[in-house]
Formats: sequence, C-alpha cells, structure tokens
Amino acid sequence: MIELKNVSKAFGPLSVLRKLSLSVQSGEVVLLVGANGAGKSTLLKTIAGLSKVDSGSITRGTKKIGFVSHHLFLYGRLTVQENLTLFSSVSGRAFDSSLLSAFNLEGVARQAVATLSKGNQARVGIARAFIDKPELILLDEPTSNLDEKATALLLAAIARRMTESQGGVAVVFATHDIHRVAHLATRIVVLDRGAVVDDTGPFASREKIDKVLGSYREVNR
Amino acid sequence: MIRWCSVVVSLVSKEWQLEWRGRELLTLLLCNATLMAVLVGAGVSSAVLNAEQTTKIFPMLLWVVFLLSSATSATRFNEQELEGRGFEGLLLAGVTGSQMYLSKFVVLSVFLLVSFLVLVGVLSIALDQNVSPVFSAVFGVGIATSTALSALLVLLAAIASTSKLKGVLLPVIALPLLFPVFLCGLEMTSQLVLNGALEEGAPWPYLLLCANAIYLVAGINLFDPAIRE
Repeated sequence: MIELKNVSKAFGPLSVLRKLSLSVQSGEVVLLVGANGAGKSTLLKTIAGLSKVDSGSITRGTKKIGFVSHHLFLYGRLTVQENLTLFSSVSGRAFDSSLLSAFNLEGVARQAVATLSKGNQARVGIARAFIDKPELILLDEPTSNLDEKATALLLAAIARRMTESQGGVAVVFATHDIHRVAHLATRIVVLDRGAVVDDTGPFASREKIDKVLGSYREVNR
Repeated sequence: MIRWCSVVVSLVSKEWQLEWRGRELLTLLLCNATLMAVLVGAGVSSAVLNAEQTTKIFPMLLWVVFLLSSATSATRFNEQELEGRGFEGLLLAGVTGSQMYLSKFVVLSVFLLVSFLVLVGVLSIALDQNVSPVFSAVFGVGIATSTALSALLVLLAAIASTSKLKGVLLPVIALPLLFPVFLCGLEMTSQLVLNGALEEGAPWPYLLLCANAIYLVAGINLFDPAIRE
C-alpha cells in the first residue's frame, strides 16, 4: 500500500525524519508511537503527500487517502453540509447524507463549522476523511478532541470501512492515547527522533504487540 | 477534461460562498480604492493645476491607486484557506494546485475588475474628468490588466501566506513584478483619455497579453509547490 525508502526531511537545521524506511500493506492497522517531536505527524503528512521530502522515495499504492488530524482541513465559514458537499464534489462524488447520520451531524448540518464545539468540528473532520471511501486511513492524534462517544464513532467508521473493503484498507494511527486504540493494532512502530527504533513487523501476534508496547511505556515512564 | 473543469467550477463556487459569507476581500478592495481615490482627488484639487494638467495626470493617478489598493488588499485572499487548512483538505481530496490556482484567478480577476470600475468612477468624479466617451475601451483595458494582476497576485499571495510578514511581503514583492502591467495600463489609458483612441501599432496591448500569458503559466505551474510544506 505504501513504501517509504530512506526518507529524510528537515525544517531548517532541525532534522525531523532521518533515512526512515517503512512499508505498510493492505489490511494492516499500524500504531505509530513516539514521544513529542519524534516525527509522527511529519511522517503522516509526508505519506499523505502534504509535505515534500528532502531525500528518499515514497510509493503510494492508492490515491484515496483519508487523513484525520487535529487540523480540520475544512472551511470554517461554510456550513457542515456545504463543506461535505464541496469535498464530495471535488472527489467526484455526489453528497451522501448518510455521512451526517454516521457521525451524528444531522442536528448541526446547517451550522457554520467555525461555530461548532471542538468535538463536533472533529466529527466533521472525520466525516470529510471518509467521503471518498479511503483505502489508506491516516490518523494523527485523532482522539485528542474527541469524547468517548465520538471516539467510538471514529473506530466504528474505520471498522466499517475495513469490512466494506474486505481487508483492502491500511490504517496508520499516530497517538499518545495508546490504551484506546491498542486493541485494533496489528503492528506497532516506535519512532524516536525521526527514525524507526522498534517495529513488530506486519500482522504481529498480540503477545509481540504487548511486549513492544510494554517496553515503549517503560522507556517513556 | 470535463471532470477537471467541474472541479474548478466547484472551487469557484466555494470562493464565492466564502466571500459572500465574509464580504472581506471585495469590501477591502473597494474601501481601499475609494479612500485612496478620494485622498488623491482632494490632494490634486488643492494643488494649482488647470483642467488640462489634471487630464494629463489622471491616468497615472488611476493606475497608481489601482495597483496599490490591489496589492495591499490581496493579502487577505488566502485567510480562509489558512484558518482551516483548506488547501491541505483539497490536496487530500485529489485537487491539484493548478485547479485551485485557476479558481482563485477567476474570482480575483472579477473582484479586481469591479474595483477598477468603481475606481474609474470615483476618481473621474473627484478630478472632474469625463471618461464616458472612451469608457468601453477603458473597460477593455481594465479586463486585460485585472487578469494579469490576478494571475500574479494569486501566486504571490500563496507564497507570502506562509510568512508572518505577509501584509508587508506581498506588496513589496508584487509591485516590482507588476510594473509591466502598470506601464501598459498607464500608456493605453493615457492614449484613450488624451487622444480618444489607441495609437495604431502601439506595443502595449501585445505586451499586456504577454504579461497575462507569462503570469498565468507561472501561476499554474508554481502554485502547487507554493502551498505544500
């Protein structure tokens, strides 16, 4: 699905990704963990094509990428429905009103996004990411603005998309909120200062995942 | 191709919606142009200039005010994109930088043309000039210069938008690059106002067309790298 080879990226003198190589296959749910500044967000933006790399190569097996982040990637002055209609039309799709019900947004559909609560804004951001039935789902701290109910909606949307595609979807999660999503992971990748320092490998056993997460928690205690 | 164009149409519609909700850019353009025109009018009226001298400097004042008000107002053009990171949302949806650029180019061209027409009206009243005999030709010059200005300002606004000093940076980098457009607009308007028609064989219309083509090609190709991190 995606393959990164020796990817490096720096912001001025600060090296954020250092010769990072990573390959993710369809059906994998990768949990990307690391301390603040480890390069998780930059790595996801690089995979999504929002950030250019300084060196190395990225091969993407799909153009259908859903990206959920603490940034909304929406227009605050437009209503929820106008935003979803815009992003549907530029993706070549007709607006599907079931998106509103899937993320409990019917009641706020005609409100400007900027006037919504943070939680509702985050739901609109998630709905936007699922418009084009993504085959690669990238989540950058998606639960940071979400309550339990919204987190459950997000996880349900991911599960629904994986079922629909019959394993044709890859998911990469970057989060500090490990306990909420660890049960979904089929692989753990630990980043430190822009490099992969630990990796369970694809479709790892629960035992191996727990072991890597345990040692990560131990180091970051 | 139809799909590509339909995306541009959707983006143009989005730009109109955003402007309709905020009424930010057009208001700023019109206010800046009108205020500068009134100030210039008051200044010229207090100077000891006869009617003939005023007619001679009218085109120059028109173009100085139009360029300054356009370059200073365009700094607000990408505010909505930056607040919600709309550019990135569109890139994720598969929209290309060229499509975004063209949609913004169309909308800004229309806004600049409206601002130009208002400015011609206000300045001709303030300086007691009658442009109605050559209005259709001046309108044509306005269209050609508005598109050239828009082609360059959309690109430069995107480049400047990542800077903390974008309010200063945009006019500083735009004004020197807009000099050919200024010169063409000034020369053609002067000929129209003073002689009633464009001189035969004058190079200015061709130069303006070249500026349009160069700025458009540059914008279509450079907008995408300008908005990516």
